[in-house]
Amino acid sequence: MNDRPPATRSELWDPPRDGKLWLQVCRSCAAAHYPPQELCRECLADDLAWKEIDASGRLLSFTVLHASVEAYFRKRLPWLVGLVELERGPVLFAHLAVETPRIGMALHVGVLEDAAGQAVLAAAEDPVPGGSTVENWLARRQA
Amino acid sequence: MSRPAALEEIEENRLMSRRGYQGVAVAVPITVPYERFSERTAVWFFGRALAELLQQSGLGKHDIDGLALSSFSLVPDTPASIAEYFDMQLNWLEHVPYGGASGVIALQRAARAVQAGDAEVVACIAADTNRKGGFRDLVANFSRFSQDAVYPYGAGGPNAVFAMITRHYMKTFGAARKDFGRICVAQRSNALANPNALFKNALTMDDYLNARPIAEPLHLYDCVMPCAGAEAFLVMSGKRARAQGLSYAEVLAAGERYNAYFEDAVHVRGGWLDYRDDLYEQAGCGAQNMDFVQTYDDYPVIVMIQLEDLGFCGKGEAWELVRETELTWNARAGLPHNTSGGQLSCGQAGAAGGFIGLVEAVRQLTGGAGDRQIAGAQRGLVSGYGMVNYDRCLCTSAAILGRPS
Repeated sequence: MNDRPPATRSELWDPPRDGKLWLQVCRSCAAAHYPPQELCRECLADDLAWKEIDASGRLLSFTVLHASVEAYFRKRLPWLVGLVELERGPVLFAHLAVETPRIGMALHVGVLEDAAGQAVLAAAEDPVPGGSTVENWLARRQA
Repeated sequence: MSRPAALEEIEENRLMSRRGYQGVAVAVPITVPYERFSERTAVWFFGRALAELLQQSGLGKHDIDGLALSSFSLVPDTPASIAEYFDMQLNWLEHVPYGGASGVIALQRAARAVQAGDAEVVACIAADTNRKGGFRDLVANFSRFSQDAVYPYGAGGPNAVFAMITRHYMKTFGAARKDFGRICVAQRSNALANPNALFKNALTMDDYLNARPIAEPLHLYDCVMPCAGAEAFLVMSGKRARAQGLSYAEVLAAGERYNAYFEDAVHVRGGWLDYRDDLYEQAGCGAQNMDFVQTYDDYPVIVMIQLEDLGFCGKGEAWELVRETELTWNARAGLPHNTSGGQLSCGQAGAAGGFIGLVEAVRQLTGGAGDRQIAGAQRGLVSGYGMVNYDRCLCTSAAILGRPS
């Protein structure tokens, strides 16, 4: 069996995976979007483009998963995920690389590739480095 | 920017002349017994619900001219398929894909069809099967937002999202795990008087607190167990119900909202808050007049949010309310809540989880609640909550039902 996280995404979610934060931004009204969509959620313009945006935000809430319907995560429990509110507005569901999560703490969010070859969001207190998968990055931090 | 006077007047006239739900009857509460897993299809559960509706009402198939249906597992079939499967010719057919909010919404749609004369007797049915692995398939493909931005993170359904809503609520308002436990323990006590509940054993506060963690701060008994089953009821005019000799409840008020308060970064307010004053005004009574309340209980934090937004206490105060208030069906001075045991103790039969509260409310108001009957129940509130695509549910509904005067 493939030891991979879920690989299914819509065709819309395909940002660079270099540790920077890339989101769709509307060229008409400048609204930033997440999750990805086809039209601007604010002004409905058909003019969204991937842009690198300010990666800083704060932790709204978090959970430690002790169960998952996916075998990949069941092997790796407990698993930490959180909701991060960007200063730009959108709320991001992300893997958390934080030792002691606290609601309100300042975080940086970046896009990395996961073991399924898909882009995912990860958040940490320091800027997210590029050049590795999210799993390798998390493992190195825990080591 | 203020609206032109002409538009103000149009809105005022609309609100003044808006029709209530007077004269609409809800009757024949049906539950097709729940099963943890089933190899049958959703169609089987729809069909069994229909058969029970007919048997309990004395109506024939030809008497039912409308269907309002809700299901997650009917694919590849659709609501029209149900008419074909069971040789029914219909004047009116509605699909109500609002998950946990679908019961009250089905009632509202059916009530309007009956009032307008588009249908005479509408069967409202929510049914779902649950094959092994069925829950994973459902959550893996629930929405595009979930597929892109939630499911790949290990969340596996709504547990992670509601864990985060729960933690945020605890931190903001000071609720403790034990407060959520009071809701779960009281519902289990109610379930022990409901032969259809899948959970048959008493639950103590220690059991609750010592359960294994699922998605912290949520533990096992904060989460519903997916299962198969169906819930159903009939909607018709009071006159038609009386002609048929059926006991029924009247619809005193109803409301719905979608994507309310989307500007809140974390879900703390639901659409109920936006229409609760209107709801009580329509019904001519207040939260203090309810003999019971059936909330949508996918997780106990959502019960608290509903109790707050529906006016049983202020925002952030429900954990104090549940400390001070007995919630069991036989609570004399308390607030009987989810008197069937709710989804937390009966199981979550897919979309039927959005009907369970309404069906129980009709039972309580027609004297059909068996060993958990609240003596003399006159009025009760039912609320629904459904469709988590990303970080909250999008649909809310609520209705007040009463014993016919």
